[in-house]
Amino acid sequence: MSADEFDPGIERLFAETPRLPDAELFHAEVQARLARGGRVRAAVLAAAGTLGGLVAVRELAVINLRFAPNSATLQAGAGPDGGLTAVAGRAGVEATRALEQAGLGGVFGDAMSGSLGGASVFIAAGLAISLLAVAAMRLLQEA
Amino acid sequence: MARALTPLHDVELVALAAGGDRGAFGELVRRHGSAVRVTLRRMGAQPALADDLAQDAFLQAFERCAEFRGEGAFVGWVKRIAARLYLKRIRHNARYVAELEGEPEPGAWGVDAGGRLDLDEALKALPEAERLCVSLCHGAGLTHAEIATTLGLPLGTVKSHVKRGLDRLRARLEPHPQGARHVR
Repeated sequence: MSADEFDPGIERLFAETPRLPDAELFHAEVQARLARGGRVRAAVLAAAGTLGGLVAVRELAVINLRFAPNSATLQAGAGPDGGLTAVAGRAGVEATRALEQAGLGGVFGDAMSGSLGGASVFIAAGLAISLLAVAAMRLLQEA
Repeated sequence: MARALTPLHDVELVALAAGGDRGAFGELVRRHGSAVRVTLRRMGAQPALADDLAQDAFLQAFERCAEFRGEGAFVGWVKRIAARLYLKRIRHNARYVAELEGEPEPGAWGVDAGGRLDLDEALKALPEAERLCVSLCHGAGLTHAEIATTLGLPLGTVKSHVKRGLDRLRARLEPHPQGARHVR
């Protein structure tokens, strides 16, 4: 804007805005939308965190199975930490079954055995845990 | 514990809002909601659209509170967000942009029934393009270049619209001792 276009009188008139009669209604609508947005975000973050957590559990189960000396470990719980291994293994199997029942087992199975390596899954799990923490914080703020 | 937000300055409220305090942001909406809505209406937005865009602008502002540096007024910042939303909306309406040379509303004079200067009435008397460009530039603080880029108009055209619009506004808002007179 060139200097000769600047007009203090015009600027002042533009700066003067009347208070509209339904200002309180507008304020209430914005507040409602803010609250709604916060709830939706928390729900999305919580869902993402839950999903990521399931992926992490499944990956743990896969690792456990890979390192088990044989399949009997899962059933008998042999060795000093066999009981823990067996429990973890069973939890993994159950999680895998739950994912498959939800129609997600194939997707995650493909991802883990495909181009995505174990490191990627761990990164995803880490991100998921972070998201879950953020979601929990948001929910606490909302409470 | 209930806090008294009313005495706080805008910058303090923005700082609270940046931390997620919706109550503090609500106070900002209470203070400046009308200004943003009126600015959008002055650009030519219908009241319902102006209100929707003003709400969107405030929601964006809440999300981006941390970006507000306090270098200008908070309300000016939100007005610019709202103006950009309005420009985005009308940019997709090719017919609107093509018809920017539309005629002013008949019967708009720039002086209200009491003989007071009325910017809103004077703006209605401007051709659509001049009204939009003047309001974006002087009401919302957008630069000529930004208006030109967003509307897809040559920079010179935008500058001409602003200049002609300001000339007409000055003429219309000029105080006349004999009462309301119209200059076109």
